[in-house]
Amino acid sequence: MCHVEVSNRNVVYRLDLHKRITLVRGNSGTGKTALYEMMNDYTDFPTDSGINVSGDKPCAALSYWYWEHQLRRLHDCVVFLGEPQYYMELEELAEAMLRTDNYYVLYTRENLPVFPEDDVEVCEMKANGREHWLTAVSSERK
Amino acid sequence: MLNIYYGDMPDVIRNTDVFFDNVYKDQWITKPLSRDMIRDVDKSEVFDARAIISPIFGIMSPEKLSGGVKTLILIDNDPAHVFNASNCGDNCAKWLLKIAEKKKVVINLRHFMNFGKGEFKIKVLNTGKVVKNAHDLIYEAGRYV
Repeated sequence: MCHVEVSNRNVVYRLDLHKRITLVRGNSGTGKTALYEMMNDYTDFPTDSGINVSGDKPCAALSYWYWEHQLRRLHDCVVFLGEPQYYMELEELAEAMLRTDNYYVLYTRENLPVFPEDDVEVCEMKANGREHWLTAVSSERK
Repeated sequence: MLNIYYGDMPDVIRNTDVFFDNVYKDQWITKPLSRDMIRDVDKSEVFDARAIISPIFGIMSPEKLSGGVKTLILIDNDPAHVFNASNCGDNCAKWLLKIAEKKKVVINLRHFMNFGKGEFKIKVLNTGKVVKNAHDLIYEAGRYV
């Protein structure tokens, strides 16, 4: 398991990741996009962003355009991806992800059969005020 | 009526978040239906076209709305484009049906959205068939996502 916390003046995310691939789904308005945007800012400006990131592993957001370059450099990290449907080479991306030792957090409601089922946990983002956390939905990907 | 094309569809606006930020009009935000959707999904109140009061972020611009609400507002106000409604959670399903009550609405879904247990009217564009409940929708559209 891997635990990470991400926070700024408005929100706190406390995430427990039990498998290498976490698919985050759930209702709109629960802060999924806000977390990805925070991780994007943090990846570009780790100190200057003012975003606090702590936990078992370093964290980074993957860029749509430079993911190949990024994945070559990221080891033993927690990597956040936006909607994976935007990545044109999805299967290539998935294969590259599975060759690494990183944990991955993806936001998608689609089924992604490219990932082995044993490596995947489906979660929902929950929120109460500024606190956010993940709860497992089931081991199924649908 | 709500018309849904399931699976890959050409010329769909997929990144509704970015598209919204660059095209939305002030009057879209202050429409009664938009106010209701923002209140229900994002638990936020529209103060005026440039200011929304969120319990988390305080006073924020419409660019800070959730991806789901942005997609709903686009679907309601921009009939020239088809949008990827898989950016919407299940809590947006009733609003998609509401938007489509009085006009033809076409959306693309890349997952199976839960439209609830009640009666509704949805046309599955992949087959051309109109379905009226969740059971029939699963039967008709399940194979495409």
